[in-house]
Amino acid sequence: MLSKALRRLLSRQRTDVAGKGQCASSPDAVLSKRLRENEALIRDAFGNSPDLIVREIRFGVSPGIAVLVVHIDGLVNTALVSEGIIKPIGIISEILESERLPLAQVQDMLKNRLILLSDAKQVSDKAGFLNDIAAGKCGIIVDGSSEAFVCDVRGFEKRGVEEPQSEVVIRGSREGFSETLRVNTSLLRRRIRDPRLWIEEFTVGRVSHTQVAITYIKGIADDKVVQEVRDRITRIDVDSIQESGELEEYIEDEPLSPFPTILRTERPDRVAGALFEGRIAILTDGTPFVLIAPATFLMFLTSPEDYYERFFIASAVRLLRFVSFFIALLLPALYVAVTTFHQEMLPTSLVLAIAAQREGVPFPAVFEALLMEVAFEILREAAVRLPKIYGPAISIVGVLILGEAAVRAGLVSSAMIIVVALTAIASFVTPIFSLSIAVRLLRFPIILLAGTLGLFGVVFGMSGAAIHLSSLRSFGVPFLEPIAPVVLSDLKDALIRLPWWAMDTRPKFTGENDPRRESRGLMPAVPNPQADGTLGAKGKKGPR
Amino acid sequence: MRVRRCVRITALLAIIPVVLSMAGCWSRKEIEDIGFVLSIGVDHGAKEDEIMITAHIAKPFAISAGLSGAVDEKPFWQVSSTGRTVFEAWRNLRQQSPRRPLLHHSRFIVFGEEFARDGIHEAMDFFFKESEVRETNVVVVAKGVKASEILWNEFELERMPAEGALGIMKVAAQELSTTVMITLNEFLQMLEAEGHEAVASRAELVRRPPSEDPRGQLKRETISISGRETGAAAFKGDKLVGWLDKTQTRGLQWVKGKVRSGIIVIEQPEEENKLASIELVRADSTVTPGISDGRPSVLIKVRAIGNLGEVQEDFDPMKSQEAWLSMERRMAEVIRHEIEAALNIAKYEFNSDIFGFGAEIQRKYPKEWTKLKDKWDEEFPKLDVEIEVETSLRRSGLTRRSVQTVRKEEG
Amino acid sequence: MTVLEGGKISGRQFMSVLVVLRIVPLTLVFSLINSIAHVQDTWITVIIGTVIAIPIAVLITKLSLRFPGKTIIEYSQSLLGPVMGKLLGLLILWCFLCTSIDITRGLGEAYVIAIMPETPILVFMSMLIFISCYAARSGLEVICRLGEDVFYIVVFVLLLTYVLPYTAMRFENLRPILAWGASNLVPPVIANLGYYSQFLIIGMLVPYLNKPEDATRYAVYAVLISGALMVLAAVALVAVFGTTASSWTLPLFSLARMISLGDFFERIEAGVMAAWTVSTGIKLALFLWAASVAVAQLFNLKAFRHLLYPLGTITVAASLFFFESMVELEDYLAKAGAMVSILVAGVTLLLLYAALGIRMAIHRRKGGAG
Repeated sequence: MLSKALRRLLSRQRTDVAGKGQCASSPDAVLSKRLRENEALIRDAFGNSPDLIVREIRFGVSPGIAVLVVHIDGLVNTALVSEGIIKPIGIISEILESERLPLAQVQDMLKNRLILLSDAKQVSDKAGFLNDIAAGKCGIIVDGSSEAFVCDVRGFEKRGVEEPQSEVVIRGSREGFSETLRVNTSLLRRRIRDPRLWIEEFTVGRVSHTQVAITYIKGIADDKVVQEVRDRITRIDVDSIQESGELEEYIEDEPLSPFPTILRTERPDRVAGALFEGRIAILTDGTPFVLIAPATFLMFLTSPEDYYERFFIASAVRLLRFVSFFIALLLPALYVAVTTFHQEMLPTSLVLAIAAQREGVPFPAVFEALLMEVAFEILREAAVRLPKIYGPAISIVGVLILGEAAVRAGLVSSAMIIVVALTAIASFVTPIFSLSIAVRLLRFPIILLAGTLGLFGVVFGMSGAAIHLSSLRSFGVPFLEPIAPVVLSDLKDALIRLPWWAMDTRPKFTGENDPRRESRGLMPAVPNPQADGTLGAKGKKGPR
Repeated sequence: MRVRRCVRITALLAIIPVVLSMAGCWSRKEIEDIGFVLSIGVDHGAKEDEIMITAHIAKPFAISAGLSGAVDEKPFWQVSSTGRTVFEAWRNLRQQSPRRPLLHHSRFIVFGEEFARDGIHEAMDFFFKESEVRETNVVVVAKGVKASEILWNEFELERMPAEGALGIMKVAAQELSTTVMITLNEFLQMLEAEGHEAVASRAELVRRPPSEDPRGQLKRETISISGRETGAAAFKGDKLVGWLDKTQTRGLQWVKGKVRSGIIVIEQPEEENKLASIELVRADSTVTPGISDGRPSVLIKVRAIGNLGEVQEDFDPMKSQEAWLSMERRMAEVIRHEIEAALNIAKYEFNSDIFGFGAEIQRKYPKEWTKLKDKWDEEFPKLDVEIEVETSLRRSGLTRRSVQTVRKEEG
Repeated sequence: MTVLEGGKISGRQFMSVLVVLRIVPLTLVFSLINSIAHVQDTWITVIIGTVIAIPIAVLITKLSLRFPGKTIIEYSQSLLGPVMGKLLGLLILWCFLCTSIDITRGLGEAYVIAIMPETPILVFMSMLIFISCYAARSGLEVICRLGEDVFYIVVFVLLLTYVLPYTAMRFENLRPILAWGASNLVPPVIANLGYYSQFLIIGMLVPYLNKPEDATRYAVYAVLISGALMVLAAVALVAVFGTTASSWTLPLFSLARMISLGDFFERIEAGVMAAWTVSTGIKLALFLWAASVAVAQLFNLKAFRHLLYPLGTITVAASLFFFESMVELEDYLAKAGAMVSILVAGVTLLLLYAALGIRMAIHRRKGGAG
């Protein structure tokens, strides 16, 4: 019983076979043949909501056949409804002597000639019809028939394609995903103009009926992984999915890990790049954040810009990002460990300088570090949530009170302020926010470990994290690939990025189907003047 | 199942630090509760068979105050304590020091002359067993005074005496080659090696007449007692046997191939009472032992390269190639003289093989060495030492010839 | 019997963990140099030991390759029969546990001696065991993945430690060579072979290789790489410390303390300590994994994972009570422990190869008769 209901709710439609939706056969699940009953049903179902528009028009000369046009105000393009449905039915049918026409012919006429819209399909399933109306489609019911038409006339207010807020690049596309699924798929289609870009749509959420699409490049992506994604999405049975983050929690491999194993991005170029590596993108209606799976740890530390800038610079920047990742994770802990356990590790002058600063600080270094880190996290959270107008106020309070005054009052040492500030800045370098919060969270237990066992504690914590990370998998792909296990061919695009003409293979774990992504020997070379004597000679004689 | 495992692990990870912090953090020592010892001195105590440790502890607050403005306070504190062993004396320091003294940052281990003459063996082991002491500490013997006295010296250019002394030592070892800088590691190797007696750095006090500051503004007292690091202390076994002066020390360094730079003053070829200085650029040496008829001998080859740094009398090497070559010869002569000075004092005065000739023989003739080993004390003064010095002068600075002044005859 | 663990490891990972498990004792407690009377010959003894170790590693690997998909515990039962096979299996298991116990205590002692003298040794040991059990629970695949990375890290740190104290090196300390006869060479060669006997664990790893045909090659590489690292260690130590090299409890730690470049790049011995800690963790994880799989296979259990934490607890307790002091541990490692390891490895190989030979002879005779 439950499974039947589940299956109905999760009715899956693939775009390539759209319209072939199966009809439910039980009598109470289908629409009635009487128009009045249907009208009552619809009004009842929506609780006679004020934005529900039920318009009755007559088909043919009077009295004609009653036709009910149903839609929700605000979700449909009203002009389209009147131009494409009401006008043809109301005006053109006037001419036709259709009074005596059999019902089947009327329906055929409606579907094939009168409804001037690109997408119209016939349904008889009650729940499906109601869901379609709720989703913003326009329903047309003819008196005497239990078959209704549903046409897509959706048109609602939506945000346009804007620059992504969370992943900013200097060089590269300024396009970001928006909240509308169709817009997002079109952004991808515009980047990958090939029929092999396959899109599959699912409806998730018992009540929200959120549309979720998975896209991949057929032939590159591993079919088994695609099937796995499909399976994981179809088994979700919840009331609603509002954001891809919710979806992520239902489909990820290791739900209890602090680390995200599915990448989220709002950049179409990033998604397209991932698709070409054989990965799968999961688009959710209502959010600009698209999920990419399988993801590896290093993907969280890369920015699309790495692939557009010159590779030396991109590699250097990437290394810098790794360094900042470790600074963000470890610096306070190392500071605590070194100043309270391993003073021998610092140069004498530095150790004396720190000792002088800590003179009179009432707290032990661990507590000082925790205190300042928490203070910073509060500050950061406040800065994010606050209306922009209050921004300066926050920085003044943060800088003056927490920084300057605390040091003056001798509550914290200025070395600690430097450490916390550097840590904070380093944590902003991580391009993907979900990783940088994971790092922030992990920082605290590591500080505690450092405060109790010094460097041994730090090594202990880091080993634990490393073991955990290397036991993670994202849809079958080892999360730390290509670092653990070491995959030599994938190291070309890991800690550093080689030039494009050298990155000739797809990642080993996701691109096995079609391992080469470019032909060999693409490294540009200057034409050899010896071989082609005219070139050099011409150049010299040119000006004369 | 998986969920339960993860919850358990997460809980454990969370609990461990909490439990540990409740159980107490055994090795934790806040940085401000530590007295960083910069140098440590070892002397005899007042009582018989007592060892006195003198620690030279930094005062961080005084240093930072000194950075922001003038302050009277000395940036260090010196404290002594006694015990029957070094370790006991060291621990006894805690009776007097409110902050826990730590040796991690110590730079010098100083022995008083008296203590060194009676033998340092009983004091050495502590410095190797104790993990706080780094093997890069410099071993110094204080000439004529106790270690506690020499630690008091101050330098005008450095607030921390240890830093100052280290600076001097580095410069003197590198640019003068008239001092030795012996780390604890090297010292131990020399003490333990067969056929190699130890040397250590030598420090002494320089007393300056207290002078008044002409402006009378500076509050800080002019430092009247300062230190000087020069020469070397020679040991036989674990006992100090004597001192090497500047010349002898450089002689020793020549043999050991440790001369980096330095000034060699020679008499000018043409003007016997005028001098010229040669700056050493590079030098190396080889010591080749030989044994004939059971009698050991040693050949020392020294090669030195120098630049002509100054001459006191008119000199133009372009005019006379011979003078240039003669300068090289004189330079070789000076070097040979220095080596001989060192050899003589080591052979006849100390009877102590501070050059490690015995060790060289052991390396080349391990079998013969087993026979020589026991009578090395008698053999060493009789050892035939041949010295070959090869020198070359390369450049003469920015000018090719010397500064020439036209001298007006008086009267 | 089925293989309990599903994961597969690559040849490079196999080699890496073997090198790590050999050089763990090297990274700090270089017992070769502690057991030699005249340190100048240490590097020669390392070469001798390495040359002898190659056939040992090859023999162990070749034997395992004859029984694809079976661990040494399993095929010793099928070769020697259930009773003898189980006894031999217990011997091997005991060897694995002993190794875990030694290195656990070794790490604890090193921390207490060199870095944090006030902290109880139990803290270090139990935390190390905990993290190793965690790694072992995640399976062989995870251990080997991390093992490869740790291998690179440790090799890098070791090479830095060898090269950077160059200011303190005096290569004439290496002479004279071979001046004390063969008696000087024997104890360190035995100590070295004692450690190489731990390569018995190859018998546990070979079934999980994705390309078993490479196993022999990589096992030999492992011996050669670890041998090279040890030769360099011996040379660096003697060059820096001269005859005093044998007196250090933690020679490589002391070597790292000698690093001092330009007044700021110094005091990096904690990095050496960290590298040593992670490599010990990997080795311990590997041996605990092997021990628990061995227990599971000896007593026909379906899963080995539940055995890990109990085994870990036993290891901690045993490493506390087996050795009274560091002196005892060092003495054991260099002498008795090494002899026992060699004995166990020798007996295992001898028995298994003898049984294999007899089997083949019988088989041939039967084949000839039939």
